[in-house]
Amino acid sequence: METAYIAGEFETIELEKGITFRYLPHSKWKTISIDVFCRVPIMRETVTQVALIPRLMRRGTVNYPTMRDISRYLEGLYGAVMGMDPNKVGPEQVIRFGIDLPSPAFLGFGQPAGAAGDAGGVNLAKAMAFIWEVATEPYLEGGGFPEDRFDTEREEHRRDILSLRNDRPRYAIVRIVEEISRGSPAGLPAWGVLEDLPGLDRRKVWETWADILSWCPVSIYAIGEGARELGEILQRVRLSFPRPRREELVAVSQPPAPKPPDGVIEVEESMPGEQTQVCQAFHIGITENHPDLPAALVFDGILGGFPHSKLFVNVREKNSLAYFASSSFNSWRGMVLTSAGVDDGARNRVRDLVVEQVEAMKRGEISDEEIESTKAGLIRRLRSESDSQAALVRRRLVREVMGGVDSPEELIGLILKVTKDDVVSVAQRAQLKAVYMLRAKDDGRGG
Amino acid sequence: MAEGFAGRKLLRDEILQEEIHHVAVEGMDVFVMPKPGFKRKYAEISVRYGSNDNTFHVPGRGRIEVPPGIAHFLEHKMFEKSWGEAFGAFARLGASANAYTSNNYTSYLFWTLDGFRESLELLFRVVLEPYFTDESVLKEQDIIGQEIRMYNDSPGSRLEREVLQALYLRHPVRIDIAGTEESIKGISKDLLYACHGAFYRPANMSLFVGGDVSPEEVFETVENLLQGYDAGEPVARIRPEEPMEVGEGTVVRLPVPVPLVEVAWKHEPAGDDGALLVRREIAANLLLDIMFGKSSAFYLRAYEEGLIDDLSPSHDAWPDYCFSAVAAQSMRPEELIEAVHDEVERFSKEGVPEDDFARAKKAAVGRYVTIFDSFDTAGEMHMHLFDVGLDIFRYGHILRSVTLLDVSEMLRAFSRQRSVSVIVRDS
Repeated sequence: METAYIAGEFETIELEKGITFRYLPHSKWKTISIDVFCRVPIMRETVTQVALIPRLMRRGTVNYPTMRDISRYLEGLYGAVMGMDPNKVGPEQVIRFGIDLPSPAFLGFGQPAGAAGDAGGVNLAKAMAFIWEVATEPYLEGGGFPEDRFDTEREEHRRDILSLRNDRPRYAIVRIVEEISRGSPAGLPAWGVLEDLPGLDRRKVWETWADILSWCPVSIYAIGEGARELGEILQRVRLSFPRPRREELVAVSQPPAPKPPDGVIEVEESMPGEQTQVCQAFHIGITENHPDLPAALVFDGILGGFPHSKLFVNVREKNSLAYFASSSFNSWRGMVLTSAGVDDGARNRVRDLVVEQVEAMKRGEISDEEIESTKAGLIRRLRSESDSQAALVRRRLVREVMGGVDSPEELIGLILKVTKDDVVSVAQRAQLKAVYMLRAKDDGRGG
Repeated sequence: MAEGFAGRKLLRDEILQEEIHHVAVEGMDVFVMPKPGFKRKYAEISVRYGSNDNTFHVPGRGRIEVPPGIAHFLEHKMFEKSWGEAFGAFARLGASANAYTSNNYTSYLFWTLDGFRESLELLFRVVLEPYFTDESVLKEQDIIGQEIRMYNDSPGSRLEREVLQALYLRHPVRIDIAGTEESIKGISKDLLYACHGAFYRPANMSLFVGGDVSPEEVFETVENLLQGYDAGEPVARIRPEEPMEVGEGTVVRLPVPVPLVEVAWKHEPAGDDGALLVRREIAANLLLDIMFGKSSAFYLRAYEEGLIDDLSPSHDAWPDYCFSAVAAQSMRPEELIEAVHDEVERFSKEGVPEDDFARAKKAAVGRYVTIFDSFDTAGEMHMHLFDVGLDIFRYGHILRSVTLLDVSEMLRAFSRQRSVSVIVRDS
């Protein structure tokens, strides 16, 4: 079993139908970390309500009714850090309730020697009970979230969505994804839909969440010293829910990914500023469970995943057109997205240059060095994940939702077998589906 | 084995169960923090040269003043070699390299799984073998021009820069690290060589290695790499005299949906007394946490009144400058500025509550422990502390010894007369 831990493999216990506990009790970290993930299929009616949940739940619980009570409790756990957010993993909206705390063994506050594991277990159980309360037992008034809190969080959430544009490179990616997802609820982002917000009701949102908790799959991850002991404790207690669990309903009906657009979508918008963002979407049709997934990873890596990649070398190093030019692969959509921040006058040249890089790969213009460096880079990233608690949890969660190969080592084995012909055949499937430009317009007040 | 390296030292912390091995090779301080069980290996060379070092005295050449942004420009150019491009060379070794420039340091680093020695050798070549041509300097001006524009478009970066420009009247910390599109046009290959020659010397650098590595192997490698290398004469940095007065706050116009606001206080720097610097730094961070952290009365009230959605306190302490700041997004920025000053005044009158202090300190000790899970954070912190005569373990000891009195005394450094506020908002 110890070897499994070293390889970064979680042990799994099914606590109840639809409720799993995965743990990795490795003691190399000084942090112990717990995440509760509530997995909700993306649905048009609930997406914005669910997106508000992390904000609403952090405002107060039955036993810790204000944010200040929560913060003081966390300080008492030696500065434990609580984090909660809506994420999107493939077709699911996954709400995370997480807590990280320092391992008591290293605090030097009179822990008996050799009792680190036990102390960790006890501390972890306390932290677990707390984060579970945050996820399931909010402070309520009149059967809903308190009105003032609800109004504040709804308004702050609206501002969060509007503030996405403060980070222009990211905002451009958000916009191109929106464009290639039109008409499909599954393509909606984790933060929901701006226009839904005014119509939300404080009682209805709580009802929706209480109902979802009665059937949604729940995955609890614990990692670090004492994680195994936490599993033993969880097997002895029963987790409480606002409504009885309806085990017969526990099922994940995953909506299909949005279909790629038929033609090429071209969208241009502008915002006062100095730099134009150029994003492009290429459909390659290879998804997480496809046998060519390893070749798709290599394709994306050669195109724009690294500083040795074609985009960085050709757009930045050879032509000095950008500071950043990169690509990323969405294995749920089977899409590769590219992104570059450039001078407005160079936008069309950069767009063509990106297409040229893909065309060159279709023609087989890929050097052995590009293949080898990319494989080495992918393998380094995969193996490095075993040092990061967050990365380990993330990879296991993605596999839980989307399937795919069993372990990072298995994926590494497959990546090593990828040939140049495999990569060329991925490239030949690539079709440009969208171009999005966020043009910088000088309104005379910049600089 | 240990006696093979002259002056070898072992720093160890029994509570944390961590150790750092240290030797000096040709004046370069080399630190190794073994981390058994971790797969990644990390190395960072930190050059004591940042954007603040734009006026200096070179033996035999006299006083040199260089264009703003040159340290950062130099960092970019160090990856280009006569034999090709170093990012690619790291990639061929399976390593991932990066570099960045701050106000006081330029850092070069890599992460790798295997072939650590080869990557370490490459890292030294990157730092010690300059290769500049007129053509490559011209090309880099365009790339960095885009980088500058990217930061100009980022409201958060603009806010930070405007605060420093208002807070400091002469000190070069007020100048943007990357310079301006205009200033970098004044950079030439000769100037780059001059700066490299002045600052990129073993005695002006340190190396930190973290991971499952043998200290002996690292020390041997570095000894071989630096054999016969001239440690170099120290460069005298010239810094203008900075008054304690501050400039005017500003309002910057950018298309932001929610205004950004920052209040900053200028403090008297601690000078070369490292223990004092760190004690004050810890006290300031605790005080900021007590006054404006998530568990503070202020935070809850401001949140419930819709004044803030979040509040980020920060503190920067260096021997020659020191300041604290509180930043937020707020629809009512002017009101927030007043509320922040009122809260400082309330604390000045009523004092710092003992139980608030105890809770904040407990949390700070916990956060300190978890730093050791990330090699890069621990490494940079250790190298910076070493430069003021301390080390990362002594930081922990000082943290544990900080008292309520230290925190209360720090309150006096938060005077409204020595503060500025900057707002970023749409028209």
